[in-house]
Amino acid sequence: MSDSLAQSLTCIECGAAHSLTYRLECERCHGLLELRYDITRLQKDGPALLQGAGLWRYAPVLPIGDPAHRVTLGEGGTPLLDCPRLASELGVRRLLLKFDGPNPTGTVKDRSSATAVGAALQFGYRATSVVSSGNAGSSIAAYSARAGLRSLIFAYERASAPKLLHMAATTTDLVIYKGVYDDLISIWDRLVEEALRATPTNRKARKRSPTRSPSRRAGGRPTSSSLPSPSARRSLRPPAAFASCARPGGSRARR
Amino acid sequence: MVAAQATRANAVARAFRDGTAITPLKIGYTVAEGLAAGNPGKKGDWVLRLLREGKGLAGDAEDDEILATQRKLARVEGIWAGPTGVATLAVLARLVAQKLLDPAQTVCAIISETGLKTEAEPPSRTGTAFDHDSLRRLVTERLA
Repeated sequence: MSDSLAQSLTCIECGAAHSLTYRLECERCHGLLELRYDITRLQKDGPALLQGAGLWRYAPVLPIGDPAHRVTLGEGGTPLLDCPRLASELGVRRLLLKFDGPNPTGTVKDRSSATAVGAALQFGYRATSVVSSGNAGSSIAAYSARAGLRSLIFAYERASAPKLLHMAATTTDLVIYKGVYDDLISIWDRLVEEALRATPTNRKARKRSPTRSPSRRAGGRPTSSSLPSPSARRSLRPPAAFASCARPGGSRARR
Repeated sequence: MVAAQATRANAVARAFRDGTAITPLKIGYTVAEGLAAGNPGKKGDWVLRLLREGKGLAGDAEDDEILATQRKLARVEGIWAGPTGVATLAVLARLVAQKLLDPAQTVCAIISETGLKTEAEPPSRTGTAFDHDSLRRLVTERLA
């Protein structure tokens, strides 16, 4: 049973509503699509709809209906830090920083990757693909691996060495592009268009899930909506064995 | 809502400032790697529309300001974030300095990435010790 309140994909240009199938743009005017949710239910039940911790706490306002498709590496629930010293240096009264570095691959992208890869599972795709300067690449690759999908990562050659290492470690197929990064984006867009026009018979075999879909943008949203960090925890049964790194010695405080 | 960009890839901020539509830019490298888009396409138009309808702001910061902000955030608050992640703060500093943003408000900025994937020059080797005496001397000097 689905607890997602997503109802339609609505065009931001012409307002045409589409059903929640795989779709990258408005059928009528090629405009961007925005997810629309059951606002009445949201207003009626409010926070009671939210359960658990992390990104999937917000499952009712994300478009992945089947819990089996909700891939996770523990994203979301990152700290909202009050930064008084930096506020005074910058000359603002109060400064809050939502620090998304603690996400599983170290970036905000894990939010959108969880929903993008969830959407790939939902629509029956076997591979994902993204153009990246590093962060989205390692994130989509990590979540694809987690979901058992193949990933084709098109990376910018000038990406930092740690980002390239992270992508190489997590993806099945890393393609490094030499040239202007913006051109790579256009080329990739063209590849997506061409794949979409593949004949229905061979389409299943090479179905890719381009990560520019509305489902991906939806995952990015709870960065702001998850600001008050929930402390709720899932109940866990104790494991039969627990492996931990051990090293005697360590840090001491100096008085 | 405030949109932050690197000056080297500021198609949205520029259009916002000039009150025009977005003109795609030919861009080079910026330390804010994740912001390196010269042609934000339909999504850029959408952002611009949301900023204008919602009475938001857009701004940009130069690469050296972004790197200085990265060092400051680490030292002042202990948050080690990447250049892409701190572009929001570098832009915030500019908007406050330009009096485009009211400093009496509470401001919330998203720091979108860890600094652990940053590529940079290795740190200075001053403060290196090699045995008990040199270590002791160094610590005594620092604590003096």
